[in-house]
Amino acid sequence: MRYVGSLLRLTLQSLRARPAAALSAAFFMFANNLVFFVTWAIYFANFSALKGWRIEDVALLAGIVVWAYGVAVFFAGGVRTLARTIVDGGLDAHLGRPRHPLPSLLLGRPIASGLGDMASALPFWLWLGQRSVADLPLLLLVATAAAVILGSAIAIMQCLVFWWPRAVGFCEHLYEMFVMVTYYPQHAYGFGARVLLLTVFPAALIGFLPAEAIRRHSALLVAAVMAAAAIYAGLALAVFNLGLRRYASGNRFVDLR
Amino acid sequence: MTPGILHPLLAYARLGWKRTAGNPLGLVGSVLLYWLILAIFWGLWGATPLHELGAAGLTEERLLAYLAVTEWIAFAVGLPYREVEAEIQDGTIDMRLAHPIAFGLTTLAVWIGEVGCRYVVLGIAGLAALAYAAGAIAPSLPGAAVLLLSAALAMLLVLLWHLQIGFAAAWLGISAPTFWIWQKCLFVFGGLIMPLTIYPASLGAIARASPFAAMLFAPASLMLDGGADGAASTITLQVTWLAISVLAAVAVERAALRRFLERGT
Repeated sequence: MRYVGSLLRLTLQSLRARPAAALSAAFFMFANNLVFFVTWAIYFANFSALKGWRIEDVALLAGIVVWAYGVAVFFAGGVRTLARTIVDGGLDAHLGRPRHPLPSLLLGRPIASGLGDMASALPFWLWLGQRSVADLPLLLLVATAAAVILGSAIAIMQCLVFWWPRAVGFCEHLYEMFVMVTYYPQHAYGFGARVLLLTVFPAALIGFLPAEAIRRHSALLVAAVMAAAAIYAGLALAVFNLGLRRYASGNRFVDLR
Repeated sequence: MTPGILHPLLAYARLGWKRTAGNPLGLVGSVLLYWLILAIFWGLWGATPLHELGAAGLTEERLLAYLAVTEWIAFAVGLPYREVEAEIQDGTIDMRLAHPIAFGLTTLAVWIGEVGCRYVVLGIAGLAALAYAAGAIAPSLPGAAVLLLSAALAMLLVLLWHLQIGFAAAWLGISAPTFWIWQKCLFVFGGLIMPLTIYPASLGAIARASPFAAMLFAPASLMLDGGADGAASTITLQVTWLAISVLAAVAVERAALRRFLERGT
């Protein structure tokens, strides 16, 4: 944990190198998230509900998704480029260290716009979602668990290149698909699609299930989200370790100097 | 434009086409992503109480056809501004600036080739998705011709804006934040998901007066009224915005070049 703590400190320090760029990226992402929500405002100006969900519920979901995304890319930004790092042989530099390579791979590259994502969760929850400040601890808990699921799912997708090295572009498409699906309420889909979104392609575990947990005040659903976070984190580690056995690059040891 | 410039530009466009066609996995990914978004909205429109719209006459099928066109344009164009941004950030733009043909022209030519390839592939994919999900929704033959032309103009218009957004890195060091805001304005004011006809009156008026409407709503609205009826006004609107965007792109490129000359890349 001390090692992870040190990596996180370095992550935060790296932003100080270009504070203006980091702040502007965060600000623009904040604005970006709110502008996109106008689409939902227009939707609910025309329609009373979406299968029982009102604009407050969609705002709740949007807040959870942006918080999850922000936490994942800010604290574990390396996950976004994991496939490229593996294919380019960039793993070598991490394999030469005495610790498991995954923490340094994931925690080393903060994406500053993630701060804007996290900040925009608050207006989604407190203003557009009409949740009270008292709801915040539970919201932060489930949304952070969702971040773990998101980060783990992306890591699993990116690990595909261990077996299929030419699939870097495909991994990027998979990632985009995944993020796109999380942003929409999944209760409108058929049963089969929902099962898929709760298991193999766990988009519903990131937005929909945590939002339902808050909407229904369900301890069982909160526990389900927490359990899913632990399971997907373990799964990501297992898939990465499995892929690592196939890794035989050895072309970037020069980076260790 | 003289043949001395046209021939190299055609070669650049062919290069772009080959680059995209030579990456079938990327094309498959784009098609899957495109189908996925159509499937999401097919589900959402199916769960939406459309009868609450009243006399607007929008059905699930029409809204899906509308979305198929807007997403076709969005997916076919992709995120080419990143190339200009990357070239400015790593300084490789220097080498391109020494070429006898303007950087913007050659860049656009490559992009047109790339987008042309995705225009064909995603167009077929969209048609297949519509036929599967919504049955016969395609416009009449003249309507289809107008749609193809209008979508091509829209893509060209979007590309011209991508070029300018890429150049934003000359001043800001990074183009992505500018792009995020521009993209969301495109989604909202362009009517990516819902036609501008169902927007609140004031917002709809603002959106229609913006260039974004010419990029998404204008071509996609051809799927709402069956095709050729509003063709002339649609194409006129797009050509007008195209002319304005060309002037803007030229001005932005010149300003960026001046900055490179004064401060280096």
